[in-house]
Amino acid sequence: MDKQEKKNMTKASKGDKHYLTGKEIRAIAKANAKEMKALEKYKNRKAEESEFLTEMKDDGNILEIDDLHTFFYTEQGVVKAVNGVSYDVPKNSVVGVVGESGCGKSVTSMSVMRLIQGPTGQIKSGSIRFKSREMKLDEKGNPIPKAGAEGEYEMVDKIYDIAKMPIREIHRIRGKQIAMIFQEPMTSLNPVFTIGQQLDEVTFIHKPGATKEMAKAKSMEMLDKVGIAMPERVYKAFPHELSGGMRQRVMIAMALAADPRLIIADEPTTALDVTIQAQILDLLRDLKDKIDGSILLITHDLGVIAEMADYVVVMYAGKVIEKGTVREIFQNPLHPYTVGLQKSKPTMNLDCKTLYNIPGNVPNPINMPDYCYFKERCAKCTKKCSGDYPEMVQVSPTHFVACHLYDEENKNG
Amino acid sequence: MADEKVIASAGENVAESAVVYDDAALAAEYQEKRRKQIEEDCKKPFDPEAVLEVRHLRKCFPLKKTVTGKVTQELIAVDDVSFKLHKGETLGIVGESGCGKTTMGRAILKLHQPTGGQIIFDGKDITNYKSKQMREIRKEMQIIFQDPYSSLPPRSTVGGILSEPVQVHKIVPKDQIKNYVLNLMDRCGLRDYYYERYPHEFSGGQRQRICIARALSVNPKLVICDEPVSALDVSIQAQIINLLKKLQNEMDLTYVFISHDLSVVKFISDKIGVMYLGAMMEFGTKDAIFSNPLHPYTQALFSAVPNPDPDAKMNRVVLKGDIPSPANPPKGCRFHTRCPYAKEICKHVTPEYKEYEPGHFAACHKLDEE
Amino acid sequence: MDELEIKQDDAQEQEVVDTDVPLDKNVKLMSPGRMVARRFFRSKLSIIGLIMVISLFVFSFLGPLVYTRWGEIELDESGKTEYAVGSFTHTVNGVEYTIHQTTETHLKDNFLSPPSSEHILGTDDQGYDIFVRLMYGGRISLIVSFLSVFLITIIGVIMGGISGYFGGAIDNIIMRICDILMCLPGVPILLIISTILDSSNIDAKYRIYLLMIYLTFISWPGVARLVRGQILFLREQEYMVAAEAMGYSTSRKIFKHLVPNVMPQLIVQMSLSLGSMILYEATLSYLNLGVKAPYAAWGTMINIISTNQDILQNHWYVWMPAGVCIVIAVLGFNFVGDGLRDALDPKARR
Repeated sequence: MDKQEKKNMTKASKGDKHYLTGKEIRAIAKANAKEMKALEKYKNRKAEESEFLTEMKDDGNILEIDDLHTFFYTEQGVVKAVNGVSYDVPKNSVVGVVGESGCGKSVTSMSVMRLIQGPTGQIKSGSIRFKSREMKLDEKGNPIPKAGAEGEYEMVDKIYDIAKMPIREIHRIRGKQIAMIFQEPMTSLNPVFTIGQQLDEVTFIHKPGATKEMAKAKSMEMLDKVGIAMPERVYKAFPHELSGGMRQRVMIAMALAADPRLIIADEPTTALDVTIQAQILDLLRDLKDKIDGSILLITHDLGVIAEMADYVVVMYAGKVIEKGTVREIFQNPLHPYTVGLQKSKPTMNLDCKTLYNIPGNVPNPINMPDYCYFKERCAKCTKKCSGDYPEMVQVSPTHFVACHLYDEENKNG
Repeated sequence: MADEKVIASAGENVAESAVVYDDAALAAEYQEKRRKQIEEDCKKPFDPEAVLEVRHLRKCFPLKKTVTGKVTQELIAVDDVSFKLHKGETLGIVGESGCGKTTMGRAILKLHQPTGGQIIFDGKDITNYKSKQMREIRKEMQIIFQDPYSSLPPRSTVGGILSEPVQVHKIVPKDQIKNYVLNLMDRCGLRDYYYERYPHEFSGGQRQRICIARALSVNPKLVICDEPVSALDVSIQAQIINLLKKLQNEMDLTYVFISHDLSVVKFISDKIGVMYLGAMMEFGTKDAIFSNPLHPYTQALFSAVPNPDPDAKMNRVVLKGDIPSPANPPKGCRFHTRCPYAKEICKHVTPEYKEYEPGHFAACHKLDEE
Repeated sequence: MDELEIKQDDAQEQEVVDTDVPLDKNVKLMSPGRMVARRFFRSKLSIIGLIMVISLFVFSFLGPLVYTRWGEIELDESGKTEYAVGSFTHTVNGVEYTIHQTTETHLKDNFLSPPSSEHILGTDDQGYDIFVRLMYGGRISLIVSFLSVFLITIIGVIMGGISGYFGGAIDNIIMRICDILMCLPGVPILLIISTILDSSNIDAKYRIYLLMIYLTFISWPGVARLVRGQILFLREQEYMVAAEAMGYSTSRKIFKHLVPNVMPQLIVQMSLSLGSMILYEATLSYLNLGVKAPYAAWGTMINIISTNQDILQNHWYVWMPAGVCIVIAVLGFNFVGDGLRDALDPKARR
């Protein structure tokens, strides 16, 4: 009798719970619907400008992401794609965000652009402070022309909290202040318009009162800037007439056309061949010095990061696990994941029999454990790792790491 | 398209030589010479030690046909590729998109019927094998694909996927199939409870392990790995590469490892072939290729790889322009439109693929001058 | 997100550093079949559709066995008395007389009787029981549409399969045949065939089948194209190349690897075309081309209104139920079809 009972119990706890029951699914759906409705309402509300104006923590930064949570409410549960991410983008710098697929690096950048697909995807909490440079407006709402310079206007810095902005206000920054370069240059251009039409449009939208000639001149300048040898021909071409590398150049030109303060480059070279990638990286490195703005570079390729970035943010499973300057991250990586990531990539000047590898897989994004997400795969795992998720520890003025290994060190010395 | 023209005009800056080239005559001469060479080579006896010998492999796809079925324009995906591969070796094939590396891999397996040349596998000329004969020999040569998502049938369990080939080729008696498969799964780092699960439950890395297990279930001699790690994350890439290496040692496998990632190819290969627009540009042992790359394309390819060291000195050869369309490759040397050393001769005369050092082949006019 | 199903971790199992038990052991996903069923039944519309279709089946096929009071072509000969009331005024010698006159007519058949316990939905203008005829009409509609859809599917799969798998000249020939068949106008030719059938004295019971065979003949190209497209797509999938590289035989490739993957689209297509076939059948019967009196079909039952305005205005119970049945059938099949499509291809949603 006892045995039978025990058998039943194990069956109930092991076998049957493999699947979510209908009841659980309905409970999840109900909770999700409530949450999504509230967030969607918040997103679509009307608000005074004062509501989303804020102050920067550090005036040298152009973008400050602070404790950002972006969740996806799926049928199986809440996917915490971005779970408390904080990092800054200083003025005129390149910040590289590196991580494997599903680590939330793209979702973070999409949150900055407010391009998260609702209603399933929502910014739950946190703030994204962005310093935008806008035209100064007089009382009537007209731009004030700059004395002595024709076609130029007085500018003023405004700091927005993008996460709190209602979606109808987002046009203030999207495309104009923050531009984006996507991974897939094939699909990011509209196939029915010529390159020229698409480039001109950017100018028309972001420069009030621009004439056709001005727009074209600007477009040609941009095409020239991104190293296109025959801008006149490309201006008239349709996207399908260009190769992948050329299209990516056009995308960069489009991003630059509105003189943005921040360019988000989401895997800009992943879809390209090595030799074309080298061209684009060359171009980006060149532009980095020419433009008055910062680049947020998102990639999984450590090589690209090392060549391009000034600061590096390493993400894993929706959290930032380490951040610092490029030298700190590459020459003194602290988090076991960062170390493993660097060791597991074969390099051109590496000679060994087997590659270092991180065992296991990224944990399931639903029902994340409370302890360090990397625990299962970590070689340096200690007893402490089963405790709470490690706090961010500062090891140098610019170097932060979230790992229990560095807790004591910091406390003792 | 537009860019090609740009390059063509840029190429005119190259010092003009007084020699006038008759393109048609040169082409005819080249064709004739090559035809003779191929005829001669194909009569040579097979190397008994080579697992795989490819001689002047050529694969064309028709692009345009007349109503009567006559091909008026074709895409030469693989043009005159030759190499030899010994047991237990790994041949790495690198090249950019459109260079024909995937087509070559599939042509070796006769998933595409080659248009010309010879494929000698294990001492047998399989070039003209009929599909029934091929079916017999399929278990000796296997392929692993790039995309672990589309290469597994969605409606079978892992157990079903892995036991089907064993059953079809009667590798072990029927009652031992399950044990055999479980053993195989263990060797490929798959847990036994995966047996009854479906492919969609797995991440890319695990799926690629399943693909590897499926390819190895029939005890092949040769495995073509077609970009097996390109779709995977870095940490998973390392797992898969190590697994491939381990299995190669255990099972004495011969790999043809196709990839666009030079660092991966360097890590896993013994011999390396560099392809560009369907043709082999350079071929040699890993050490020879990496310590002394002969062809300008190889040099450029090596220097284009981003170095994960922020302090590394950068003196990069950045190639100008785009890869020309393989449907309409440039005349003469295919690489001349992007080559930093291109001369007038390169535009007209196809360079010969020659052995410059023992076992180190390349095709470039510049090397002849030196 | 994949369909992740998570087993709740037992708290006590989470001990310090247990690398032996991987996290994913607790995560199990469903088989593709179960996933489809789960998604299908998650949608309320598809459940409603399924209920509609099943109840129609029960009604049409089991109904006549249970409710045997009246037959399909059995007239209610209980007789009917009709009273016609009239009144007119007549002036005699300045005095106005109103004369009320009631005419009593005894009729042989009990026609156009309103719903009663005798006739659940009343009788039609001939004296047939409408409720019973609805059942028989449903039988005809369902049998005819199922038969033709099956025929269409079988021919379509064979032709599309051959065309897609072998390609080349065969593909070209079959596809051109499809083009030609798709050019044929449906209704005009049906009218012609119907006239021919009229003149050749075909039993009224079978003429609808002959017409549907013609419909099948011009409808299979749709399925053939679907199957061909799907096979062309699947052939490019790497697992089919892998099957080729494994050295499987052609029959194994077709029947174990291709056909099961074409099935989902086929099932959806079938359930959607069932609805349209029912509509076709009803249209034909309505136009008096299909099932003819005295046999019942939903279309024929509605057709009554075209000859008798009085019925349209005063006797809704004669034509309304048949119309409702057609709506239920078509909606039901479409709901099921949509539900299946969403269940089989979750990406198509949203």
